[in-house]
Amino acid sequence: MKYLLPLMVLLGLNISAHAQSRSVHLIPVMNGEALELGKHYADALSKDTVTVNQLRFYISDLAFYSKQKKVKILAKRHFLIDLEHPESLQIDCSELKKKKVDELRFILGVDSLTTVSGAKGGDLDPTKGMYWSWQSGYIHIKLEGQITNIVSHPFTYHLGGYQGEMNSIQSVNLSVNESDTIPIALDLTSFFHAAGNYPRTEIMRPCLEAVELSSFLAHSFFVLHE
Amino acid sequence: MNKVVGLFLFLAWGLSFCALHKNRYILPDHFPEPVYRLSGNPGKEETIQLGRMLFYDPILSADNTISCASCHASFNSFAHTDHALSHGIGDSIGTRNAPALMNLAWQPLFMWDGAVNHLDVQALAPISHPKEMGETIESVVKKVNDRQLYRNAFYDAYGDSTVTGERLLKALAQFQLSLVSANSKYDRVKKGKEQFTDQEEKGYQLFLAHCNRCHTEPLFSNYSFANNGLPQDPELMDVGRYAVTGIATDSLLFKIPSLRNLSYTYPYMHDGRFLRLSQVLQHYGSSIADRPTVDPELKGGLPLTETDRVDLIAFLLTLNDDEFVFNPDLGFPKEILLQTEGNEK
Repeated sequence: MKYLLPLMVLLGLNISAHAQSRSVHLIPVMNGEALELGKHYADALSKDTVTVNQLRFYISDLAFYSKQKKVKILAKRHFLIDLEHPESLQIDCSELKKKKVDELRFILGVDSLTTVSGAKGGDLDPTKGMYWSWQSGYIHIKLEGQITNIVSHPFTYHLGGYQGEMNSIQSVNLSVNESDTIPIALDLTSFFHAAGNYPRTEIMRPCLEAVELSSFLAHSFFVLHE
Repeated sequence: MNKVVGLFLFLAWGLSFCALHKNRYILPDHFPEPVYRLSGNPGKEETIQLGRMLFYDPILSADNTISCASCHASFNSFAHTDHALSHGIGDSIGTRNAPALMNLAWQPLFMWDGAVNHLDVQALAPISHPKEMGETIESVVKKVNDRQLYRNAFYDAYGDSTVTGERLLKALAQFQLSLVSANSKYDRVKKGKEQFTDQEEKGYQLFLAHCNRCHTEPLFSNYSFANNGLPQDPELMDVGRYAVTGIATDSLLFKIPSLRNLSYTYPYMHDGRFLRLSQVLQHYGSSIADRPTVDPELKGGLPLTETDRVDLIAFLLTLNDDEFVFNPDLGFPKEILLQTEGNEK
């Protein structure tokens, strides 16, 4: 895994900086390196060049487990992760204290009960641009950019939906090692391989395609191990 | 012992004051339990007045010309009457007629197609619609935050002058929750304070036989969705709730509106196609379209004679609540929004 070493170097500073507190560090990656918005990434397999201009998503109910038993669920329920705001990629988990954990779980998206409970504040405030106005519901994931293969065309994935078969909320379960900082990569190379041949490049409403793409993204998370 | 009793009474008095202060909303005794979780947005006079300011202020629109009241006029029971289809910024014409706003705490879903699942977030729809207000909530919050009048009002409402999307929407919701219509002649009859005329009573019995299943008293809607046999407008091609759910059996279903205040809420139906109640009853009597999703009880039309229709209308007029429609406390807050003209910094 050639890209693990540079990523771990990237994390090294963070790990030392946060040695006194526990945290989860989310790292969107593309082609083995930390994703930069606006940068062109050539894919050797598909020959496409992918550029991501926006990546935002909610993770909710982040919980830690030890031997299948829940040890701690963070008090703050919903986090808006926004690559344009790097500070959002670090989730403070100091309330975990010194508890031993071997697994973490979270929801990729905003749960249904919260969605039907009216206007919310903080990361859930509608001014964050992650709430559909024309039909109630949170946009769980916003991923926008360009794909170029001879011709360039934009992609706009606003993945939401919380009801019935259009429910695109995903669960993510990851095994973790003991460490003060848990680095979780989101491999967008893997995502675009899965979604690359998708016929539709604009998805902006609850639909089965949103459910499938959300599932691709959920399966693209993995923990970086030393 | 007297001291204990005295302390208890004092505490009870104090707690009752808190309950009154918390529950500023009107909950008529003969209405069912509200659907809106009032404890999540406890009514407070200052917050309701803030919501009222926002409701009447065109600051919510991109060009600062369209307010909520532009389509939801108080003297029309907060409905829109000058056009079949409501219009917004730049004279844009929409695809539906703005419904009357009343008794909203009892409604589980909003908009003619039920696209909105909570009153708090309903305002996002017209604010951002390009043919209504054409704005963004982010821009509205910024504009409101830049006005000292509002920062003062937010401080009074929330103890903090910071304007957020959540606070703005909840204040609007609080004002809308205060729009309770429950003092029509019908309501007074139900409380034993008045009596129907013979004609109104006949109309009431016809209503119970033919209309109450969907327009269920005392709210005069069960707030579910139905296809009442309206032929689809070939230009608008509005498919109703199907656009939200994608379920075939929801095609051409629209939200059942309340029948309160009909004298003020014309024109009728989701696209305002009927100007008069007589036209509505003529439709129910003999113009039900033959479509798969039409309510089975309406197929073939309702068996109403001419006399039945007149009696039914006589009853429907007893649902007008003039006290609600002409309540100055719900109208344009000139004492707040106009007194600062030319003086505000």
